Amino acid sequence: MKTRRSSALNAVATGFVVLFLTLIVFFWARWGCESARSKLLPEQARKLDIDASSLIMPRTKEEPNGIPCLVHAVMMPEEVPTEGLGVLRYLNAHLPDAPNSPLYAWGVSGDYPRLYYSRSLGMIVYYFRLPVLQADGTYLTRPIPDGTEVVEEEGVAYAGPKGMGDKPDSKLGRFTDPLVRTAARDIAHQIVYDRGLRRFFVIDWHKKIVRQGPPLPGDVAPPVDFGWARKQSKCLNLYTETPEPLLTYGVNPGRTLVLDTAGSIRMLDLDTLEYTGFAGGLPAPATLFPSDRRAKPDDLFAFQVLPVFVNMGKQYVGCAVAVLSRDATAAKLEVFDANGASVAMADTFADVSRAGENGSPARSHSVPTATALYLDLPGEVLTGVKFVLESFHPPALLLASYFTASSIEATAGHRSLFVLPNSFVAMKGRDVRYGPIRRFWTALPFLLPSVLFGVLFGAAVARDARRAGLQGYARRLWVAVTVLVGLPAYITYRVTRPKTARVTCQNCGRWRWVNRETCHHCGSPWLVPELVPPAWRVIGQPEEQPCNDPSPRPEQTISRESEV
Amino acid sequence: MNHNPIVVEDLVKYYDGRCVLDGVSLDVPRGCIYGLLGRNGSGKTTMIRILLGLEPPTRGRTLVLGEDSSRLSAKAHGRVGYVAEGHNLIQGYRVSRLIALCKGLSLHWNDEFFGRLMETFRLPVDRRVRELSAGMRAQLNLALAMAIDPELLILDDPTLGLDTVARRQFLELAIDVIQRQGRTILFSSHILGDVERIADRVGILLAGKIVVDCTLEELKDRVKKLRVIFPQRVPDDLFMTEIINRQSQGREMVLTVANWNPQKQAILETFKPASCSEVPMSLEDIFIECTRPASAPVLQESEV
Amino acid sequence: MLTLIGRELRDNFAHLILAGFFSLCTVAIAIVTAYWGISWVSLPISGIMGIILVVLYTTLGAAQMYTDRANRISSVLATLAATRSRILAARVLAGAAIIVATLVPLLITAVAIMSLEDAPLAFYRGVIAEVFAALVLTSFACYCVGLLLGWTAIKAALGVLLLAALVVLLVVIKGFVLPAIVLLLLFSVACLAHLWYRFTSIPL
Repeated sequence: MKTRRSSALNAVATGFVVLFLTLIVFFWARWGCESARSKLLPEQARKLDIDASSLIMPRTKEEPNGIPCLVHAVMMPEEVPTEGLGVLRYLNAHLPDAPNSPLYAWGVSGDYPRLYYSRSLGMIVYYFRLPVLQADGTYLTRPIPDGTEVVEEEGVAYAGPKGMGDKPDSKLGRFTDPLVRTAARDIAHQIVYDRGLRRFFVIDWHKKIVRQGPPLPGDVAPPVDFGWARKQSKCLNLYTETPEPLLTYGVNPGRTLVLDTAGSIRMLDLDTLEYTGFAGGLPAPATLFPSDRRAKPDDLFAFQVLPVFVNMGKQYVGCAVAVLSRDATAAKLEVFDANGASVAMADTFADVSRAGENGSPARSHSVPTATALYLDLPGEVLTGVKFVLESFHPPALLLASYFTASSIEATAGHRSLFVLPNSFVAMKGRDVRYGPIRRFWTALPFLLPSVLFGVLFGAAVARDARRAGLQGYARRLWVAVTVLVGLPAYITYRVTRPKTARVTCQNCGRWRWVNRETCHHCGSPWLVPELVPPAWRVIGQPEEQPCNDPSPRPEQTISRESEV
Repeated sequence: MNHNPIVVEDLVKYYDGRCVLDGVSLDVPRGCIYGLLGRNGSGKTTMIRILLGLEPPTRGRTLVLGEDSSRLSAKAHGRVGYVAEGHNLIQGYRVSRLIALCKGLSLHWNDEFFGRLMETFRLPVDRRVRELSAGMRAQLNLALAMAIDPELLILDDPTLGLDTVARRQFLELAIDVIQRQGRTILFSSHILGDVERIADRVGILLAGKIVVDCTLEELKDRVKKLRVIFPQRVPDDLFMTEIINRQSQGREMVLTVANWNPQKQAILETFKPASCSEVPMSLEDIFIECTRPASAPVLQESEV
Repeated sequence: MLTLIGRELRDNFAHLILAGFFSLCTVAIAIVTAYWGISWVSLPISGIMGIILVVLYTTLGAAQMYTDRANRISSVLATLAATRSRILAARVLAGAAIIVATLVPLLITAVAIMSLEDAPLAFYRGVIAEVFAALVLTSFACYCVGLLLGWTAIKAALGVLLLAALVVLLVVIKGFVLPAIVLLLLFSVACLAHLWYRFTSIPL
């Protein structure tokens, strides 16, 4: 009744539904494991402390009253599973002052300011109430009974790369994809990096000017963030502890730190809008399988870059950088001096109790937190569960996870359904200790169980398909798809498998399908022994009948017997 | 190309492992009233449901108004009137709503004719279908099937539940439909008197096969029941092809034969019977003879 | 086709009324809380109402197929001038119409409140469109799950709701972003394709 094409369409459609539902179940099982693991780390293992006194003024024999400066980083891994979910991320990302929201400020009901990027105009629009700046640089004032007050004006201004105006004029140019940060918490000053134009700009709404910097050199990676660069700050806290009262953060009026996509931190001079030097880089935390010494922003679930200024913000002394790994099992803190040289670094460690050799009593060892969480109880159990879940993942997708390991952004990995950037296979894919061939070889033990399950399911499908009498090409296709996709394909096969009745072939005695003309084992035609029709037939020729006599026939009566 | 309204080609139907139809082939010519007969469970309803696309065949194919039953278009459906066994209607609906639904889904609705039918049957329109009696449901079902002026009418035991008067009214309706040129009826019924009254052609399903498919006259002409009396005793070596039934007692043998012809007559005469007389059979008699198992007892015929 | 759609709407009028009631309750809560300046209260309540609506849509799909099977409605309709495909299409269109009709008031209310509260509507146009599209598609996908399982598994009502919950959880995983919307659309299309195949093959 059904064509081959519609059956194939049904199989594909059913397969997608099954795959979709199965992967969601697997996702939440993995999420549960992650959540459970995120709570295992004791408080002391989550903290990192570095003495950065040398940045400011270290205690020395000559200067026993040196200014201490401790840098602290605290990881909050229990926030990661929730923060990684898309719905929260989406809602947070669309709040007015979200990091990459084009809505920078929005006062309601006439409460200024309103500052936003208009995609249609390609300009930054500012509804302001600002003091009136006079030509001599002072603000206009007016006398009031108690003294004077600054005169404020209300208005709207439009800023493009070529200037500013009170109307959206095409002569002002267009920003194509700006990254905007407020300078030194002064909303009347913005630092803008336009990804399309590859330049920095400074917008001064007071002076109504837009300054443009030179284009970034071609060999320099584009910026990701500047000022107080941070990502997922709910999961990683970074702060300093010092009696020095005038440490300032964020964007100093004269300069600012810029983090680029390669993980390098550079100093940007806000007067020339050019890079003046290297300030540091994102360190790579000690994950289960080591990766590069330096990390990229996309490789990390969370990071914070904290510039440190002293002397009322006039002097830059260095910066502290804290990072949290993709899977939130390890954090690292590194401190750089004013020249970008690394001063100190620290990884998170946890104390685990391990049995001694030759029956000696268990001793406490300090191991990296990633190792502790994955390989020591009770994390071991969760690791086992994670491994089993990954083994049931479609082999083709798991293999794809290996090859796409580095290209998926860390937070997106916590929302990924199809490929698994946080799987063991993907971790091996990012393991830079080995060359590509050896790396793949060492990843095989993590890939093989999934392939094995795929083969087992494929074998089950092959056996059943042969019994079901599927045609050769259909059988081979099902087996191939099941080996590649694993459990979801097996479930799909069972759901869409034709459920045709079978009867015993009268010729060969084996099962045969009732919807086939001949037995697919011996080729014999049909015999239905339970139905024994008579040998006689009374079959007349069908004819086209003209319009029949409409009058009913008289009631039949039994007539007299007649001679033959 | 076969232009008959109903064409069945090698139809096979299995329910799980049980064969119901085993290679049925028949054609219902245009303008014909075709009576489909068979015992309970012989597959009549199954075949009708397959014709209407309500059931998929296991093998073979069926054509209705030139279209494959499994892919009947809405237009083809609209040209077929159907009365299901048990008068399957939407029980929860009021009669008026059901009428409106059928009217909305029809290609052509004969309001006048339907109105006359409703008046004749005196069906209440404000009651729910499940509140109607079986007979009323049958009448409603018939009226709805007829109101669309169908080119082909398929009736599966349509008079089930009807009283004598209603049955007569139905027969007259059926004849009325046939009066319109080109209309065809396929119906199955256990009331063979009705079939005999109106059918032009009959088919009998037995053991999954069509064993009879001819006109009524042809059937009566070709199936003979003979009472043969022999001088001594019934010969043991009397063999003839296409014997439907054979009962012997002493010198008397009652023989029901299919496709009676001079050759068979000649064979019988070689055994020199003392007398041989034909027992007239109605359609019901023929049906019983054809479908009764060989071990079942012979009913006494009454002499007129 | 209109006759078939009208029949479906009339047969499932109770679901339409219930969904409309909950939709209007959500609207009323949103308006009242906005008037009293406590709009933040309406968010969790709207979330609960949203869950109720999704459950209603799932049960709508299941009820449509179950009542069809129990009352053999399609076996009657299929003998009239209607094909199985049309019957199914009318059923799905009726369900989609109920979903859209009961969700559109929420959209209108959200836009109206945002306008009254002087929110940056131009910015949130895209967000509103994405959230509304995700909401409609999630509801439709859950409705398709109900349709799929209503024919065979009405006794496993909990299973139907669990599967619908999995669909909703996709939005929790991915957010109201384009990949989630595409996935929901593909899922709905796949469900309907499977349903069409089954509905046009089964004996009626």
